[in-house]
Amino acid sequence: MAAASARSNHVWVGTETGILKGVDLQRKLAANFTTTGQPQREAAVNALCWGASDETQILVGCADRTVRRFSTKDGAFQGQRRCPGGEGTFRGLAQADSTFITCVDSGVLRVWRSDDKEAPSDPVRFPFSSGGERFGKGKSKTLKLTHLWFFQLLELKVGPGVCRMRQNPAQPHVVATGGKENALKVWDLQGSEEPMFKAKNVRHDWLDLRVPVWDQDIQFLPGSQKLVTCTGYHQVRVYDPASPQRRPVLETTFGEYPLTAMTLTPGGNSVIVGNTHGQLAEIDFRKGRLLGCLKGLAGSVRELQCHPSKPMLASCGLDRILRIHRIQNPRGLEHKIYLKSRLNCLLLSGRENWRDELELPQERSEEPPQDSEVDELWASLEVAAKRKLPRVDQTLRALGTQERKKKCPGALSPQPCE
Amino acid sequence: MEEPQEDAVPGDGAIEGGVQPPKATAFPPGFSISEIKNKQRRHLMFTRWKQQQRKEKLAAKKKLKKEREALGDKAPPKPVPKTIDNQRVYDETTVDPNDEEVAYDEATDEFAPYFNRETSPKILITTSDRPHGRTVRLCHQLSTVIPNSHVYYRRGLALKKIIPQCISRDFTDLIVIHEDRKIPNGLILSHLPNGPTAHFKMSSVRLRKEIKRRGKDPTEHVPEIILNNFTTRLGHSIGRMFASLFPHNPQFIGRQVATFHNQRDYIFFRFHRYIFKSEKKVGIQELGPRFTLKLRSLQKGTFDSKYGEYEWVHKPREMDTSRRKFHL
Repeated sequence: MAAASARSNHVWVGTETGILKGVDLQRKLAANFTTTGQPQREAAVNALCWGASDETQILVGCADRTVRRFSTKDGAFQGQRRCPGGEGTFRGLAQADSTFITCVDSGVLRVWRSDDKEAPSDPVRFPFSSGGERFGKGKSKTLKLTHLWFFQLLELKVGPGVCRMRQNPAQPHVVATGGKENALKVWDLQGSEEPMFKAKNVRHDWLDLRVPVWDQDIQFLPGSQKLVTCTGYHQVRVYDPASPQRRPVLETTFGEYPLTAMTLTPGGNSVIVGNTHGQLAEIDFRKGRLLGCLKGLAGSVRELQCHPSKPMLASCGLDRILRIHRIQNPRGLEHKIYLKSRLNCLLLSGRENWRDELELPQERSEEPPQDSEVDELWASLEVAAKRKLPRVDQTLRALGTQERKKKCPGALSPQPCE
Repeated sequence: MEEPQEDAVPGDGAIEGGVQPPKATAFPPGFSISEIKNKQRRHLMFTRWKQQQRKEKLAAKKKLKKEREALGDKAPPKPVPKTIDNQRVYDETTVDPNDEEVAYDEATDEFAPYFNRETSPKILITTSDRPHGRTVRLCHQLSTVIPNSHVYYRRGLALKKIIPQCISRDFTDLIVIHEDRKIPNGLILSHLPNGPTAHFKMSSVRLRKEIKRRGKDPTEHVPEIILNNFTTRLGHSIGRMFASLFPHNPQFIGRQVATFHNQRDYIFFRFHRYIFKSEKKVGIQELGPRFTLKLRSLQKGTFDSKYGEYEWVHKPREMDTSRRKFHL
């Protein structure tokens, strides 16, 4: 039952106490998932990303430098793997084919095989030019060669003080990194060890002083090679690697506090940024105009994510509340869920159908063996499924998820627009 | 119910005596007292109306009292009057004592070393630059109230430079009393190794000599602490922050108690000496300074107002829209 409910969760949130929470907005339930059954502050969740095969697995990067695999189908953690190398916490986690990419604070970017075998403690630096000649003899050695051929580079030094590493959703082998006094760099993991694009700092300001660099979040714009970054000095910048200029193509500022999180809107023309005071703003990056603000957050925004097609924004932060806002017509707060621990990162399910689809997939999987051609049989089966739904719902609610956060009714109902 | 009475003779300058003007009808809409242009006459009409209201209210009260007495034991219980505290909007972040997750969160937060008795508090009290008399006196009085505290003059030093020095000298908390126009009006409380920083607005500051009927100066005994009404998660964090200012073992011989009472998001600080006259009767003397605090922001990490991350920021236009919603 936990498995079925885990699958229908809309938002997955990682907390500072090491708990992965799955929130179902339809049924207004939040469930806690931990590896050991007890929260552990040492295993605080720092990075979340979808695993392979769309949204059935989640890779959870924890503060003790382990990456755990969580299956949404089973509702349980499946395995974990230590990822040593470099110092600091995970700043980026991404999945590409059968490997996953991690990046830590001190700038060590590593690509790991995701077949759960223990990687050698020092992954072999494998210059692809001389790869063929090294292992000439012995079948086992050539097998090892072909196995490592996916990613020629397994470790990169990106520079200290990394704040974010993001993968290009269109090209999984391209990642971008940026941080404090660490300029934006775009790396091609299949290419050479030099970055594909390295941003240049803007010109000196009006006092002829160097403008400091602090890239806090990066997003790739779909449909082109451009990137948008938001900085700790409250600037939003657009870079275009295709153009000859390495300086930002567009720069705007918002507010007076460091911007900590950013996400692209489904319209494709604007980004939503959040700062350490909990202010959310939608900025159009074609002109650099502020389109509007979203109210409600009281604490620093840690992560934002928009749904790919619906105008929904999920935000989480240090005030321990997950909020879902509606971005357009009308702009306002839809759901507000108190989640008891400080929230570090979140993953919003990108699936189209947010309604209850629990019983129907199971029913449909029984259909093909029956081999029925009659339409009335299909119709009657669907009717039976609809009749079953309320009872199943009740049993689910009776079994309960591990944590029911509501004592007072009605507090989780969609709030009126603020 | 009570419609203002119509003035039967509008143009007459004579003082009304004894004549009861007819009541205004609901339809067509009658006129109200506020439409009388002559101030004296208007005032008179209003006073008359007010007296009428008072009489009716008294009569209703008497009637109710008579009915209650007549019923005796069978009288329905007295209705509880609505107050803003009664009508408080339920806060979803109210801490449930049985909640394990919140208990774990609190047990491992930044105050855990204090509550596990690994550290004992050592406080540094300072002010904003160039303080005036009231602020300096308040600092000294506070240092007598909080044991193991030291007052230092702020010689225009930046807080970000003071904090690493405090940490190296084993201070656990930093209190900065901010002053404006010769009166203290702000308080910054920063828990030191890497703990949260709370910024309060301070008002109603009364120094010792301004407190009437006060007792003698406080002694060196460690006081007890009372934390009232910190119910939400944010309230718990602030309550723990105040608790971590005082050493663990209060000396009951001293009979001194420091109270932080939260009501409607205002925290009232009082310092008393108590004496039990009998099993149930206590006498208290107020010593020490008295002030009121209101939380403006809680920042994670030590003082860094520009680049620090805030756990809670007070936003008046968003949070103060309802008179019945409180956050602490």
